[in-house]
Amino acid sequence: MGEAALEAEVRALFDCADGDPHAEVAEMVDAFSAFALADVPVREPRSGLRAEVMAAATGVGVRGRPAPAAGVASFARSARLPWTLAAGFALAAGLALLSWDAERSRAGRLEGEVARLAERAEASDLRVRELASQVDQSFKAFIVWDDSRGTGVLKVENLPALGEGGDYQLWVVSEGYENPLDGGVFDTEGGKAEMRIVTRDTSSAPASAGGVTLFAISREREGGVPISETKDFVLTAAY
Amino acid sequence: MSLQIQTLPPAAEGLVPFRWRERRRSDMALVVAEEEQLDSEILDGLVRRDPAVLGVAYDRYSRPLYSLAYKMLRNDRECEEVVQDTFVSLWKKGNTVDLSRGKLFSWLAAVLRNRCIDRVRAQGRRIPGPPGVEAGPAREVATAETAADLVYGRERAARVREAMGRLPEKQSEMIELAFFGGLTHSEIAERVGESLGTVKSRIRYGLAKLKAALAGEEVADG
Repeated sequence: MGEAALEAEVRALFDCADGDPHAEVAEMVDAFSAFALADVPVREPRSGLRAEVMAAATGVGVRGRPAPAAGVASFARSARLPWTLAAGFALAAGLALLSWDAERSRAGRLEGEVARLAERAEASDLRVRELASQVDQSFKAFIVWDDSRGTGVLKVENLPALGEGGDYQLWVVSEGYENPLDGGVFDTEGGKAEMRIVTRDTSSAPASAGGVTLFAISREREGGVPISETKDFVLTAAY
Repeated sequence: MSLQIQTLPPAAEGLVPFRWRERRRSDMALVVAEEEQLDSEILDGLVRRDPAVLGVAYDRYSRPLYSLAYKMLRNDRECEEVVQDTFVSLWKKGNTVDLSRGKLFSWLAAVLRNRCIDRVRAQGRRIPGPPGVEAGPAREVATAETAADLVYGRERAARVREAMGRLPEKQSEMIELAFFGGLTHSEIAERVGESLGTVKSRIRYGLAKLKAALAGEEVADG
């Protein structure tokens, strides 16, 4: 249905005269939708539907590699090195975690939370990833990530506050994107922070991060940056 | 300048802006502005033919659309088909959507509604009433959350429900027949036994009250 056809239907439905302004018709349309939804119980679509819809609409898999948006700076080859190193460290840290002493895992509150979440996540699409630090091993963070929806939650502990002028910035490296996605900025209070992750690409447009390969946290200037050029990631985790 | 850990307001679910910590959580106008901005960004991405943006739109609107489809069709397979058709339409025609003519969700809901009505009419069925025993194995979330909560946030959805609760039963029935039944004003007039003029004025007046509720304005009775 084209826009003109939709508006024609709406005008007929609400008996709007041709001279009625668009805005008034639009408000009636919105009210109509609100009415329709008001008492509709939430029903969850099947988790695999998303991939099918994406393939049917775009003709490519969910994790197709979109072209970078016009005007967005490309990710310089030289800038890839820190990310490669971060990925290498994250992979090594992940392997080390596999052999972690279970008693030590239960010792810390955050580790305990990770274990409980991981147990619960096994029965869902969620994945729990603990981030490791090369800077200070007391830095703790984990991410609960829903790859089917491309969203998650970050929780950190023992990370010193940066205060005025600086922010931590989360990066999400996704197969579908040329550049690491901006996962949001935060600072800590009492060493702690929690943030819902909504990814954006380098043009600050919303981005759906499927096929995640790496999470990384960097120190950046206040408010964050479109593309990180840091060589020292505070925390990383391979997906 | 540190992150305050708080539960995000329901209206912000799924649309947390990049600098969300700066938001004023009770400011409904700001929430609406953010919704409009995100819709605008989605449409910009569709113009660029960015598949990832369609994914963002799906994540944001598939649940309420699916819920709405289920109310009309009561069949998961058919719901999946109409939801898929709706997003295919968005991908193909997203560049024609004009947000000055209604919110993106309203466009999607209108497309989905028409698909549902086409199916119901083609099979000689009637739009089902409230969920009953015919609903099949339920996947409805056990809480009282509604599809409106997902799109408009709890505060505005509650206002709309409150406004709906104040509508006279016949007025509410007329709007329901128009949306879910796809009936014309004449058909509604015949169905409810009122004059055409009465049907037109009651539907418009009822929707005007819902529109005010959606905008956060006080809604008068009557």
